[in-house]
Amino acid sequence: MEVTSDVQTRKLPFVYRFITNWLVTDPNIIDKYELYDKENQPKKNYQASRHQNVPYIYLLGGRWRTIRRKPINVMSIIILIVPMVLFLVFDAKWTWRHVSPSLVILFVYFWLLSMSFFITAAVADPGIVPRNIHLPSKITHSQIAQAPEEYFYTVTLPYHYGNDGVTVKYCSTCHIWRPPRTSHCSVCNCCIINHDHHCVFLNNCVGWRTYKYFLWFLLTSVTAAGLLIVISFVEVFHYRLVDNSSVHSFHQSIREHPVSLLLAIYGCLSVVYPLLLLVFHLFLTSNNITTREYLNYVHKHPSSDYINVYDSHSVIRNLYINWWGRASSVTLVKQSDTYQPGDIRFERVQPLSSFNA
Amino acid sequence: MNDPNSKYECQNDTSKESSVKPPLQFFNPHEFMVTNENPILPKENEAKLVINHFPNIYEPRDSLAYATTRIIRIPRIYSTVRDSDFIPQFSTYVPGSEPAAISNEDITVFEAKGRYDDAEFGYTSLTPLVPGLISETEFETIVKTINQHLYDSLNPYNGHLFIENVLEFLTGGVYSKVINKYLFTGYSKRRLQDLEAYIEHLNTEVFKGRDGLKIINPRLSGFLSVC
Repeated sequence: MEVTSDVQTRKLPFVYRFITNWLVTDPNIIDKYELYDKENQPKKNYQASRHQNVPYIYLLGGRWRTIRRKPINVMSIIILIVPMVLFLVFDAKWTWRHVSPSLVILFVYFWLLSMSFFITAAVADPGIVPRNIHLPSKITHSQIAQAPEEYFYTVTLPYHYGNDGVTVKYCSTCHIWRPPRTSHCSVCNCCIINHDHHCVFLNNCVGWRTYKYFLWFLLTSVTAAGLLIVISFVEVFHYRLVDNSSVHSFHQSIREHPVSLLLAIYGCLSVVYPLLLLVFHLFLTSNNITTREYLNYVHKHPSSDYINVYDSHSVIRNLYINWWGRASSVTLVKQSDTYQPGDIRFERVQPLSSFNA
Repeated sequence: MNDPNSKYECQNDTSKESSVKPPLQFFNPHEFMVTNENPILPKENEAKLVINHFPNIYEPRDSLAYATTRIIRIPRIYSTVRDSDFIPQFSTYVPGSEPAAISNEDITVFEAKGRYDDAEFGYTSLTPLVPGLISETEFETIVKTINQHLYDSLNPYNGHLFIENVLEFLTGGVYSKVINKYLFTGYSKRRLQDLEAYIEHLNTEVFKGRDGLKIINPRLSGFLSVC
């Protein structure tokens, strides 16, 4: 069997190793080509992930992550950057001198905030739970020989108030007893704490650690888009607002400031979706319910009496908890840590099945 | 919970609090039962074994520690504080004495009745941990301290957390990435570091004489259970 000996005996050049082992790492490809032999064991956790169908790609040495799907987040970033570049090149100076420097500063500030929150929400760990923690018995040949029946029931445990409890379920893929509100994302193939939804535009899940950045992104991007609309319209209609303008008609104004009209239209179009999302999430957070719970229980069956036990029955409190009260806390599975050989959290164990041969 | 009597009560009653559901009881969902196929004493294979301790997954599978130690999982409890969906709290019930645990009035300590998966188990939810290896008060103190650290760290109504979140919003996330990492640690992380220091203290000093007894840092287990 001399198939992989070529790859193993040749030392890979530094640039290649830098790019594939630090800059952009796809552990599934590493697994496929068996780039690690006995001496070259994976040094960090992110290089060692061996799970099936987990489409994570790690960037910058495991510090950032993204999903191996269509790169819609790159398109979103371009949509964010384009108006800023156009504004800075064409309109910023004019607005600074003729209208007010504060508008420019405010717009740039909110744009920077929204960009930063977008990047954080898109590359941060959303709250992934370590796998294989609650294995019921010893593993033989990468699987559990006999799965206990109890692990397939949904358990209801008492909650802090009221008689309605919280439901706790065992995830057969991740082999853990999930806390309430923790859900298994089908795209990322991981369990995520307080899972809200999988955002295609971020190419990442929105969960415990990324929810507040997501909300802040929505807020700041709507503000920035609003400011852009105001600035652009003021620029286009400036001739009507002042007496001693050299411009006397709308057509002339557009010829003088063509990019402003473009930016005004761009702002109006691009504010629609984030504004809708913002309103939707304001509604959700004021009831302390996640998107997933809302779509699965409230929206699908409007007549059923779904009781949201997490609602603290005070809009202010619910809003506070979600917008200002969450700690980012710690990553539970630190991918940039050194890999300990034999760490079961990165081993592949077959999902628990109830059909036992 | 699916009691047919309470379902019909719902329909006739007009008040909102009409559904008379029996109060839910807490138990450890990690336990399960198997038939006693390898009994310790030959005639004792009628009742089912309660599996309440598990292989030690924190050691590599070919090590001695894996073969000789087991893990007891203290589950999370959701009825003690509000917002327990994101503030992990662990049950202070002695394993085996939860309200809905499998118990027997005659059996008050762990008694091995059968073998399964290379380890010994009994007929009730009691484990060899308490009072075998730790006393009840010690167990409660440990879990209560861990719970307190976690609560301090993640409680959203904490003034520190609010100020840090506002700062983070105003600086666009730079606060937590740059200043927190390189200048001083954020409040939430400091409390979690306190927790890790406490566990370290327990493992090295308090459990010194007791061979093989160790508490695994909850962060390793994803705050899912204390082992």
